[in-house]
Amino acid sequence: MKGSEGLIGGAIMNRSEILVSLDIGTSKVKVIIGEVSNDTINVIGVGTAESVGMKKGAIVDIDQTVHAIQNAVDQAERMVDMAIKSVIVSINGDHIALQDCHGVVAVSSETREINQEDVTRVIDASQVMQIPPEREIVDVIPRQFIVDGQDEINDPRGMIGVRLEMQGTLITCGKTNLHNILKCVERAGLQVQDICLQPLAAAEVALSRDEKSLGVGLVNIGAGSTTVSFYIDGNLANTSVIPLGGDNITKDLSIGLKTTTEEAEQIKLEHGHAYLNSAIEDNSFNVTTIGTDDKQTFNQVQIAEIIEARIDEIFQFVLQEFRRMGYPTLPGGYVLTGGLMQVPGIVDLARDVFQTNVRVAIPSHIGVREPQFTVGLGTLQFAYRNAKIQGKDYGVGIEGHQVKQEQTPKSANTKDKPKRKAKEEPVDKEGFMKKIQNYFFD
Amino acid sequence: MEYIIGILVVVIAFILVGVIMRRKVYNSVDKLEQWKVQLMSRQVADELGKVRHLNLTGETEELFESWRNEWDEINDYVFTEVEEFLLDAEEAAEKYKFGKASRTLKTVEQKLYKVEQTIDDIFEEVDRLLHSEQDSREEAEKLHPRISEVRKKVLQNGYQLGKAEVVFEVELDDLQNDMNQYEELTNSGNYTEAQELIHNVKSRLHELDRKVNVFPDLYRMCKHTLPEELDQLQNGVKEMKDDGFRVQHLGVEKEIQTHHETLLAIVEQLNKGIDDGVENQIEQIRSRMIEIYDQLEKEAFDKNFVMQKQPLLDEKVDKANESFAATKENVMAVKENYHLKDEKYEEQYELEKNLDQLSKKATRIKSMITHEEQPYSSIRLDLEEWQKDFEAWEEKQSKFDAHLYNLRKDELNSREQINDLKQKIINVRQKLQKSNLPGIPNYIIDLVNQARDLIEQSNEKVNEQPLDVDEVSRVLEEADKCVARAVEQTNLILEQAEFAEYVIQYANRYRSSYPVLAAKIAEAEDHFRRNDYETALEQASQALEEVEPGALKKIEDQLKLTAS
Repeated sequence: MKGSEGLIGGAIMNRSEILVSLDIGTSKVKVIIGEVSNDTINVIGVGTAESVGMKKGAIVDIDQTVHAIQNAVDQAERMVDMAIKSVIVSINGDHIALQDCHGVVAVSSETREINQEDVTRVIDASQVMQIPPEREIVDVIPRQFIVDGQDEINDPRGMIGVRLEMQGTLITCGKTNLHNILKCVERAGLQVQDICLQPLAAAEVALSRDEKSLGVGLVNIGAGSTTVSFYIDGNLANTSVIPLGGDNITKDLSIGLKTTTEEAEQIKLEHGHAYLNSAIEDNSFNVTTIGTDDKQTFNQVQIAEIIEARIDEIFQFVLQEFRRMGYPTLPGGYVLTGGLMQVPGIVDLARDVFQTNVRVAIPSHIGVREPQFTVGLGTLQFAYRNAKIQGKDYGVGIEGHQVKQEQTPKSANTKDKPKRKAKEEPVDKEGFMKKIQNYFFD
Repeated sequence: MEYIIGILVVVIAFILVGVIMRRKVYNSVDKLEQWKVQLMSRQVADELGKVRHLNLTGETEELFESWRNEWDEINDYVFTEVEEFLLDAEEAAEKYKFGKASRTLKTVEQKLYKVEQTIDDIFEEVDRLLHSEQDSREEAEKLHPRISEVRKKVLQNGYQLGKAEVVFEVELDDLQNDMNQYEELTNSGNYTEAQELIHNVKSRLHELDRKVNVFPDLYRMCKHTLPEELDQLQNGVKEMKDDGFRVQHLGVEKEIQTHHETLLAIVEQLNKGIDDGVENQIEQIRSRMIEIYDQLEKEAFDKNFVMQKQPLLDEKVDKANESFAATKENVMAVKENYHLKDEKYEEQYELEKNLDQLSKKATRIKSMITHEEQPYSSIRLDLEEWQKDFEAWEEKQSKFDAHLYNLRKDELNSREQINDLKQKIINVRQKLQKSNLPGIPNYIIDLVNQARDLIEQSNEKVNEQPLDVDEVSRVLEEADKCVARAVEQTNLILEQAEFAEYVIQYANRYRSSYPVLAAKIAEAEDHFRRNDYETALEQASQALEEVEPGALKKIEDQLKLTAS
């Protein structure tokens, strides 16, 4: 089936831009295939697979994770009848740090017209700074360009100037964590096209421009971890991870109802309710006690007590985290997303706890209208937009991707490149290697 | 002439009769003569001679003398007398004195008969005398060694015989004396007496021998074995008492004391060499002991039984109280809607009374167990009786319950059905909530609300008093239909929505290359977001089919694949 109709991502991208995002979550691995046309993204394929190789948002078993990635990719490929070559990976975790950065270059061309090369150079220049050896630079997000003192320029290409400055956010992360993720992706036979920070991706879908500039807290509650991030003045200001999530609820239920984790998960999805006041007592169900064949009957109110307690705890941590970051009040309120938003009543509870405006963000794209896809879809949108600014062109492969070189030497140098990459690689690979060489021997 | 002939005939007849009669007498005489000779020839003298070997003293002498005298008399007088009588008879016959002849013959016959009798008697007596002499002699010969044998035994087992030994020795001496006396008697010719003595000695010796054999065992039994067993029994009883078994009512200790006394008495008796009834008494004691053991064992079993059942008492009473409370509640509920017969109230009252009695009795049994008075065997009887009563009560109660249930059957069924429908509608709402639809079409909401109203209505009808079963079932039927429709419609809409979404998603891939399709899909998406899934599905599929014929079929297959 693979390659029967065409190849997506990677080098062969002639019809239109088709991007693939890979979101490795604690409970599920999600693959979304989106086609970009007229600056909007149409989802044409989705694949999800149970993931068991992750705990609290970090990889604990590479083989299992690889297996899950392959399953999800297979599913998505079946849907679109095409083979996936390379993917945009979203990463997350408490090892991620944000840093302000600043780069200045002189415009090189004789006409003083700023071209792609100048932009690349200014981004490069901003990265020249001391970072600890166990950390690696993932990406630079330009906040604004300044041309000869004129600030708040989104895209300076084509402008005329002498001095080009860029102010942005430098994203660094732990080497090991990144290595693990990339290793998994490569072991699954995929090429890493780009790496994208989850809070940025999620914000792309979940937050509006106004919210971002007002100051808003984005809370993404997944299975293993909860990501909180704060946006102000249109940019990501801080992000942090709390190692609590939906899995904790499942475990609480399995302890409270004395049943297996699988059954607890099922009950959480089918009967779970986060707000005690609006739980329905008539909604009852049978539970098999672990180790026996006995059935016990519980109702929604009983499990709502358990679920509410845990989610309340998570929210308390979220509040604490925002206070720690130095944002005790959020003018734009809180926006919730992530797989846990499927549990009804969670917004009411959040309003009770946060005492301010709260909304749930759910993607409205056909095929991915579930909160768990926020990150995946956002990854596509963000990568597409960011590539345009940075001058990355996925359409012709991964050429000209400066930042990428920082963290891909290992993967680029590894000899065990998946076979199916081989045939379209030569041209691309040469350029890529050259860049690396340039980087090291410059 | 006639006279002459007549006289002649008479004479001839006379002569003939005379001749015949005479002949007859002669014949008789010959016969008797012969008998006499025969008697005379019997060896009476020889027979008497045999006696001569014996000591002709004392009794024997007397007898011998008398026999000889008798015989001599017969020989000397009787036979001559007989001879004379016979001659007389012959003479008389010759003189035609037949009457006298026959009389004489008769006398002779009698005499001869008597003689024969006497001779027979003498023979018999002699024979007896001879035999008695011989038998006693043989017996005496046999008895001698046996006496010494028994004496030896007595000497050898002296210690086993205890005080009875002396008695036995005296007896043996006595026997020995008797033997000597026998000798004397024999010597003095008193054979008969001797024989009697010998017989007596023999039986006494036999008895003595038996006693000598039996006494050691009896002594051991009465002095050691039985007392030990009795002591053991007493110890066992004591132990059981210490362990909390209730055995005093059996009066075992007193009885054991009596048995000990009896045994002492028996030993005393044995010391006198008497063992009459001893075996019997021992056997009695034995069997009593076995009986006591059985009783003790039974008590132990009963205690075990009672202890096992005791905790069940409370449990059962509590359970019964609970279930009866439920029954009472049921009666209250039934009373509101139905007419109950008076006898049913009586039955309820009866059940209550019985339960009360049962629980009182259970308390009494428990107090019996705690107060250490009643033996467990009697408690067990009470307990078993209680159990039987309790089972009977349970049966009665369940019958009563069944009766109530039958009365309320329709109502309960309706209630169950209402709950069922409620659950169904909740499921539908749950499904819709979980479906992730952008919105729920109004007609589905209306349908669900209608179903809920109907369920509420039927609920009200069921609670109405008096209950109108027909009306309830009518409303219920309506509600059932409505719920079924809601379920059906919901499933349909969910299916449609899922399919529509999938089709739009599939069609997305052609958007960039087919602007017409893109527009149509956008429209379909719009419908989708406005909850009009049917139209969305129609438009999207139509647009897709134009671009890729057969795509719908493919999508359907794929959906089925993922569903399965």
